Amino acid sequence: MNARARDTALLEFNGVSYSYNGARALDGVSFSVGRGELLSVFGPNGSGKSTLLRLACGALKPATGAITAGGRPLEGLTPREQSSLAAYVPSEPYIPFDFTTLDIALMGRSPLLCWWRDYGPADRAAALRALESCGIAPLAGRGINSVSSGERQLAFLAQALAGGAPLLLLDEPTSHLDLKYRSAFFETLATLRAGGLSAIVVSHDLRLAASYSTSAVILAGGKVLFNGPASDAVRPGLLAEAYGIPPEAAARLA
Amino acid sequence: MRIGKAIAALLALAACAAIALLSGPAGADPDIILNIRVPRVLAAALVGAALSVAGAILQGVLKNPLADPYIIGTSSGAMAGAAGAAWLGLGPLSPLFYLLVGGGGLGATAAAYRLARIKGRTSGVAMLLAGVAVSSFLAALVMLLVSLDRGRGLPLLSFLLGTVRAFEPAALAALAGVTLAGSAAAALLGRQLDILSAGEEGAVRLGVPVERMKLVLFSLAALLTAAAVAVAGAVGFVGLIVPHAARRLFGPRHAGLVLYSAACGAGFLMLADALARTAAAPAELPAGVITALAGAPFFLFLLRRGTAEERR
Repeated sequence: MNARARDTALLEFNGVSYSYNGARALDGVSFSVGRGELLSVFGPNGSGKSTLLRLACGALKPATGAITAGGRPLEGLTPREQSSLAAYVPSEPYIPFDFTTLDIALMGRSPLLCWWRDYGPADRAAALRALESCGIAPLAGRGINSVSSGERQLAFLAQALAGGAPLLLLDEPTSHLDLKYRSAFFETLATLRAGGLSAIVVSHDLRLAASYSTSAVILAGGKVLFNGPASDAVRPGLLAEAYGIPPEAAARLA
Repeated sequence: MRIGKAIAALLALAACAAIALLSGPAGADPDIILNIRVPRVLAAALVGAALSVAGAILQGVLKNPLADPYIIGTSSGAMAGAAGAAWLGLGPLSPLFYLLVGGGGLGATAAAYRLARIKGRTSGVAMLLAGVAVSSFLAALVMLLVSLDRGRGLPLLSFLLGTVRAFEPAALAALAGVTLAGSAAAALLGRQLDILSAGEEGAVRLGVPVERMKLVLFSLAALLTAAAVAVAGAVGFVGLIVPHAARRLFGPRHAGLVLYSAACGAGFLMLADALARTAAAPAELPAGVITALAGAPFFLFLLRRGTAEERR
C-alpha cells in the first residue's frame, strides 16, 4: 500500500490477532478500507468474520497488532468518537417491543446525545433523511415488527446512517432476505457508496456482494487467504481452499 | 396527538380518584372522605404507580413483556423482610419495619443480580432465572415462618395477599417521594431504556453504558417495589399488566411509557382498592385478590385487541 492510501484509510488493520479464551479467532490480519470503498469479507463459519467486525467497532481490543482509524489508534478513541466513526448493522435483529421504524432510526442518534436528553428536531430530521436514503420513508410510522424482514433490515441500515458515521459495518445483512430485498439492500449500499460512504460487509452472498464491492478479504481459520480487488475474489480455486469444498462444487458457486 | 393522550390519561386518573373517594359503606360523608379515604386512596394510587413503573422498567431491561417486580425476587425479599419484622414483633408503626422491608427487597434484588453475573456481565435471561430461584426460596422461607407461628402468621397472611392499609403519614410521604423520584428518573433514562430493550449488544454500540445502566435501573425498580410492598404487601398483577396495557395504548417508548404506566397503575389500584373496601362490606377483601381477578381478563382483552399501531 502506498503512503497516500494509508493517509486516506478510514480504518486499517495491521497484523491484528485475537483469541477467545486461548482459542485463536484472528491471526495476523491486515487490510484497510478507504473512503467510498466497499469491502466484502468472505469465509466459512468460524473463520473470524464476526470477530473482525467486533474489533472494527471497538467492542473487542486486539491482542496483538494495531487498528487505526484515520491514522489514530482505535483504542485511543472515546466510545463517542468510535460510534461517530463506524456504525454497525446487525443481522436479523429481534425487537420484543413494537417501536416504529422512525424510533429505530432515531436510536442511531443516541451516541450524539447527553445521557438524559431526548431526541430533538435535528435528530428527527436526520433519522427521516436516513429512512429516505434507504427508501423506506413512507414506513416511518409503522411498527418494526409489522414490516417485512427486508424492510426491517433497511430500518437498521437507516439507524446506522442516522448517526452520520462514514463507515458502516454490516454483519450478514442479507442472509435472511429474499432476492428482491437482497438486491434492494445492495442497491441502497451502492447509492450510499456513491455518496462517499464506506462499508465492510460480511456476507455469504459471494457473487452478489462481490459485484457491489471494490475489494474483498477472504478469511480461513482466522488468517487472510485473499486480499484484493473484489472482482478477483470469487474464483473456484480460492473458494475451494477457503471453504474446504471440492473444486467442481466451488466452480458452481463462483 | 401526544398532548391529547396525556390529557385523556389525566382525566381518566381524576375520574378514578373521584370514584375511589366517593365509594365506601359510609357513602359520601365529608369527614370520612377527608380523614380516612383521602390517605387510603392516595396510598393506593402511589402503590399502583410505584409497582407499575417498576414493572415498566423491568420489562424494558429484561426485554421481556412478561417480567414484573416479582420475577427478580424484589417482592419476595420485601415480604421476607416483613415476615422477619412480624416474627420480631415489629408492626407497620415501627420504623424498623420499613427498614427490614426495604432491605429485604434491595437485598434480594442484589442477590439475584450477583448470582446472574457471569464473567462481569449480567444477561437478562440469567437475571430472570436467578430471580425466580431467589424468589421461590424467600417465598418458602416466609411460608415457613407463617406455618411455625400461626398467631403471628395470620395477620401476615393478609399482608401476603396485598392489602392497602392505613398508615402513618411518614410512611406515605416516603412512598410518595420514592414514587415521584423513581418515575422521574426512569422517564429521564427513557431513551437508554428504549435502546436496552432492543438488545444489549446493539446498546453497547449505541453508546449506552450497559452494565452501569442495568445496575441503576434494577436499583430503581427494587426501591419502587420495596416502597410499595412496605405499604400494601404483595399486590400482584399490577406491575405485570399495567405497563403492558400502557404500551398497547400509548406506544413502547419508555420516556412516555413510564409516566403513562404510573398514571394507569395509580388509577387501577385506586379502583381495585375501592372495590376491595366495598364489595363485601363491612369486611375488607385484600386488594391483591381484586387486582388478580380484574387484571387477568383485562390483560387477555388487551392482548387480543391488537396494538395501537395496528388500529391506526
